[in-house]
Order: sequence, then C-alpha cells, then structure tokens
Amino acid sequence: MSTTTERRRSGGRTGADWRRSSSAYLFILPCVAVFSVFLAYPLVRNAYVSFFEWNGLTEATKFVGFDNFVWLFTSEAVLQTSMNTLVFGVITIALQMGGGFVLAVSLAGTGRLRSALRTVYFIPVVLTPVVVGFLFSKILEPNDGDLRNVLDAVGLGALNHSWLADPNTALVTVSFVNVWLWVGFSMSVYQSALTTLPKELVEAARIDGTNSLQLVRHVVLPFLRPTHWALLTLSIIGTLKTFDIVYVLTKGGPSGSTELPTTLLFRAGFDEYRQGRAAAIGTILFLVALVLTIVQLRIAKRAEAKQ
Amino acid sequence: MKTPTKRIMTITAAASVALLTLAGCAGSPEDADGTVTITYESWTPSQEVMDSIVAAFEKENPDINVEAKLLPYADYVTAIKTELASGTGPDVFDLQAGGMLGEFQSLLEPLDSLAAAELGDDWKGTYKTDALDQASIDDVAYGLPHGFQSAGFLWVNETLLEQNGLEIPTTYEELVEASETLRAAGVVPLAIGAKDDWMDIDVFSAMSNGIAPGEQYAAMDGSGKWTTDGLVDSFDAFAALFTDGVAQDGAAGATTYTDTYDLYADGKAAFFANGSWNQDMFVSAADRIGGFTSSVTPMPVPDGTAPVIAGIGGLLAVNKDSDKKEAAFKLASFMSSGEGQQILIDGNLDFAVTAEDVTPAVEVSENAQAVRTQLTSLLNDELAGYREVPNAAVKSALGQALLKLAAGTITGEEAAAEVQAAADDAS
Repeated sequence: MSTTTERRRSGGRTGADWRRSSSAYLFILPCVAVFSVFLAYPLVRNAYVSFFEWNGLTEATKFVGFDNFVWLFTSEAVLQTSMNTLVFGVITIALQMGGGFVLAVSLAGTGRLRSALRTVYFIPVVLTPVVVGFLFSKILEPNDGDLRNVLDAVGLGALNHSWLADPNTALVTVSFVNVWLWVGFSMSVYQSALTTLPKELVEAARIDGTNSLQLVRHVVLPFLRPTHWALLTLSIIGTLKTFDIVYVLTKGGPSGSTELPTTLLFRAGFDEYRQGRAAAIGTILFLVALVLTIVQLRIAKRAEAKQ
Repeated sequence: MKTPTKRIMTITAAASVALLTLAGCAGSPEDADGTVTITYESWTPSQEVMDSIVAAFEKENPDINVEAKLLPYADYVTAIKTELASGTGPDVFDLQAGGMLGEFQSLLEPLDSLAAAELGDDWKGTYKTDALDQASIDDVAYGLPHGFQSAGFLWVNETLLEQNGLEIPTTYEELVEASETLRAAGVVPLAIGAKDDWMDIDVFSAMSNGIAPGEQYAAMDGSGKWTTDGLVDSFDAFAALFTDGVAQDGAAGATTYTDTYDLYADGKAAFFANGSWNQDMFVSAADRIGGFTSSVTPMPVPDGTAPVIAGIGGLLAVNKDSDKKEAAFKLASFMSSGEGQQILIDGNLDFAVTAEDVTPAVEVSENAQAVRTQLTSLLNDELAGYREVPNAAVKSALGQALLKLAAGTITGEEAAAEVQAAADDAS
C-alpha cells in the first residue's frame, strides 16, 4: 500500500491534496466569477459582435466577416485618429508624469503647507471628467469666458484665441486639460514611492557634495525606476481609454482634430446604431493596449534584471 | 459519506438553482389589489412636470399605477437599448422621430388597433397630419406624438439692435452688414452652438429650403441627391456664416446648452440660433432676459429668408413585449392628446400635436405672448417640412460634414459628396 509520501514523490495526488485544492478553488471562485462575468465575457462577446452588422437592439444576425475591420483600417478617420492618439498620449504622459515628479519632489516631506498643497493638486483627480469638461468649456469660451476676461484685464487680449474651435489648437488644448486632471495622480504615486527612499542614500550623497539637482538626477530618479514603469503602463492604458473629457470638450471635433478611437466608437455605436463597427474599434483598442503592456513589462523586466 | 467540501458545493449549487428559478418567475400583470402597474421611461419632461402628469393620470385611472423613470438623453438611449434587448424594457417609452424610430421599429407595438379600440375609429383626425406622420412608418402609427416644435429660425435681441441703429435683417447681405456694425460695438452678432450637430442640421435644413426648396427632402427620401448644385450652394452658404463674421468667434467649439444660450440670455448676442422650445427661457430665465425685448425672425439667406422646419418633440411608444398594452396605451394617449398634453405644454411651452390647438395655461410676460404669436404664424405660413433626418447614419454624416464646414476644413462640394456617400452606403 503506497504511503502519502510515496504517492507524492511519484507525482500523484492524495485525497488530502484534493481536499486542500478544492477548498482553494472555492476561495477564488467569487473572484473568478466576477472576472468571467464582467471582464472575460464582455471581451469575448464584443469580439463576436465585431463580425456582425448590428444595430444594438435586435438580435445580431447579419454576419459580415471582416467588413467592420476593413472599414476601420481603410477609413479616413483611422489615420487622423491614430495621429491624434499619439500626440495626445505623448503630451499627456510626458507632462503629467514629469509634472507629477516635479511636484512630488518639491512637496516631499512633512509640514502642513506641503500637505495642503499636495491635497490641492490631487483634487482634480477625484473630480468627474464630465464636470471638468464643462468647467473648462466655460473657462475657454472665446467670447465671454474666464480666460478671455483675465487676459483682457491684464492687457494680454491679443493672446485670445478660440482654443477649442480651431482645428490647429484643439488637440493641444484638450491634452493640457487632461494633464491638469491627472498630474495629481502621478504626484501622489511618486510621493508614496519617495517615502521609501532610504535616508542614508540621501545623506551619503550630500556628504559627497552633491547639490539638490544632482541628487534628483543621479539618486532619486533612478531609485524610482519601478514607479516610472508602473505609471507609464497605467498612463498608456489610460490614454487609450480617455473619452469623457474629450467628448465633453470637443466631441472629437472640430473637424476630427481631437477624434480619438473612443469618440469614434461612441459615434458608431450610439449615433449611427452600428454596434458592429463600435465592437471592432473596441476589440482593436483592447489588442493594442494588451500588446503595449506586454512589451513594456518585458522591457521593464529586462531593465531590472540588468540592475 | 460526502466530504464537507462536497456538501458545501452541493448546497451552493442547489441554492443557486433555486434563486435563479425564482428570479425567472415573471410577476403577473395584475397586482394583489387588482391595480396594474406600468413603467414609463424617457429623457423628458422634467421630474416636476412628470409628477403632475402621473398624479393627474392616476386620478383619471385609479386602477393604474405609473412608475416613471427619467434620465438624461444619452443615458436614456443606452438604458432603453439595453433593457429592450434583454427583455426588461418599460411598458411605454419615448423616442425621437426619424432615424431613432426607424431603428427601434421592430420592438414597438403598432398602435392602430389599440387606438381604434380606445379612441374610436376616426382617432387619427385628432392629430395634426404632420405630427402623426412623424410618429408613423408607412402609415402605421408606432407611437403617439407629443410636443410640436419648430426650428431653423433666429431669436433676436431687439433692444441690442435698436441701440446700434439696426433693423431686423431680411436678407443674408443685410445680416452680414449688421454683423459688422455689431462686432464694432463689441456685441456678438449670431450666437450659434455649432459644436452641436443637431443645431447645425437645424440651421442648414432651414437655409437649404430657402436656397434650394425641397431638394434636401428629396435627398433624404432617396428621390434626389445631396450633390445637386442647389444643395452645394446651401452647404457653402452655411460655411459662409463662419467666415463672413456672422457667427461668433469660436462657434465651432460652442454648445447651445449653455455656451450660446448664456450669451443670449446675458444680453451679449444680438441673434441666437435655437428652436421654439427656447420659449422656456421666459419661464426659467425670466429675470435674465427680462431686461431686453426678444422676438423671432426667419433665417436670412442670400436674397431672402428661409422657411422653418418643424417636428414632434418625441413619440410615445408601447413595448411590443409588454403584457399591459391597454394600460400603457392609455398613458401614451393621456400625455399625447389628453390632459397630459396640457400639463406638458404648460411646462415647456411647446405647440400642440392635436388638430385642436392647445395653448399654455400659465401666465407669461407680454414679450412671451408676442413671441408665441410670431412662432405660430411662422409655423402656419412658413413651414418647409419635417425636422428629423430619417436615417441615423445619414444624420450622423450630415452632422459631421456640417461640423467640418463650420471649422472651415472642407468645401461645400466635399460636404455634399460625404453625405451622399453615407446615403449610398445606407441604402
């Protein structure tokens, strides 16, 4: 008769093992259930719908194969949307990560003033993007908005412009609003990472005679490398998902100058009742995010291994 | 003997099955005390007005309870699509005419037999022909219309014009001249929320019917094309509003609610593009606009003025899968041609959909009454046709083309070609 040990050594499973793993499965069941229902199923269903022409109301019965994807990759909108995403992404990610880092470093440490300022910078993060959109629409309104009134009052009226109505300035304007919205988040992530910076490291560098700028460049920045990667991943995914703020500010206009995949998706699905096309956009967006994330994780792992 | 784990799993499975079975049991149409509860969903009217309607309806029909759910428009469309697709839709709900009605048609109960049973065989005579047409497809009514509204004309701040020695323009050339004078005086000439595709479509539709009468309707019903010379001229004329100094700076980035609404209400704009529903300014923004005299005037086009377009605010449809259709129809009928219509009109100052006119019973200022008279005569004498574009994809393409014209990035000819391509694609 084989003993437990013998059975385990030959790679078999004992009754106890099964009891232990079945209770383990029970423990993860709620999480797996939520994941399957709210994440996996919608993804699969979305991919399925993208092969149909469907108005979102009646049963999806008209199979059209890859037509929706062909439309996506050959439509004029695709080139402009991709370029917009790139520009929007680069500006947003660079400025909110860079700005967040600068704020975190400048406001590091204790003290009521620093604490208060950090809170103030974080407030935009908890505001609803739709509300922020309305707010900035009012501020940037070229005839009677707050920005115009302020510029006029200080004699800089010549700088007035229809920021959101000019196809040449709309995208950059929307990007700046997005930076305003998220810089507090980066600041907060960098700030908590900074609290783990060993004091001895800083002291040693000071003793060696480094000034503050060199300290930041040669000690702080490299130390925060994992944080950079984490924020970069989140920012890229966040950029691909951005919808509310752009939709409220410009609806993707003027003339498609702020059109992002998400605004295109919304219009196809809800204004044109073409859920199949919307699903195709959604599927491609998901795949792009997936690929970018995998690539980033690989690079990050390799960089860490080098260290 | 089953192990503890297996017993837990078995009980869980059994409980889940029991719960699902219970959940699957449909409630019976009648509640315990014999009353019927029906559900209503829409983006309109306001909660206050809806409460009055429900109270009045339940008084008239003590055996029917109404549960009303109101949501902002975009959220409402998402909610109603999801609910109808999953079989949990409300008994009676609101739809816009045109593309939306077309998309939802297969989910709606055709109303002719319900209406004949409830209102008599000549029930169609109760309604204005235009109003009922917009709620019908191929002469079959799929909803009961509510709230007739006109659009495509301009609101005028007469006080501002007077102060600058100007008369109401009756041609486009006069409008351009007036705009120059107004700009010099620091006044916004025409406040137009050109970021709203529906606003652009309203203004363009009126203009096209002034420049090339009937051609847009022909293009929309498939008997004509968008690329006619007349319509290309109309697209160019629309674009000219933004380059001739007529529309306010940054119009392409302005929304009607509330960028341009605010400009007009605060007395900063001489002209304002909005529809007859804007009469509610006399109720909700009375103190803001009380300082100046408002009137309405047809949209100036080259060599003359344009007519107006008009459409129903919505149509009340009965869910094809409802098991309380008679009760649902009663509510729809109450709101469309019964006492509910009066309550709605008192709240939003719309025009009646019934052949017999119904006027607001609320007290409004003299200015409001004068404007209503002007609007009524525009509706009676200068109506070009319906308002909502019949096909959702074509409407989207038209809106996008007009947005680009407002931003100045395409020509009238390119706009026409874009819309025609969408029309070809959709047919």
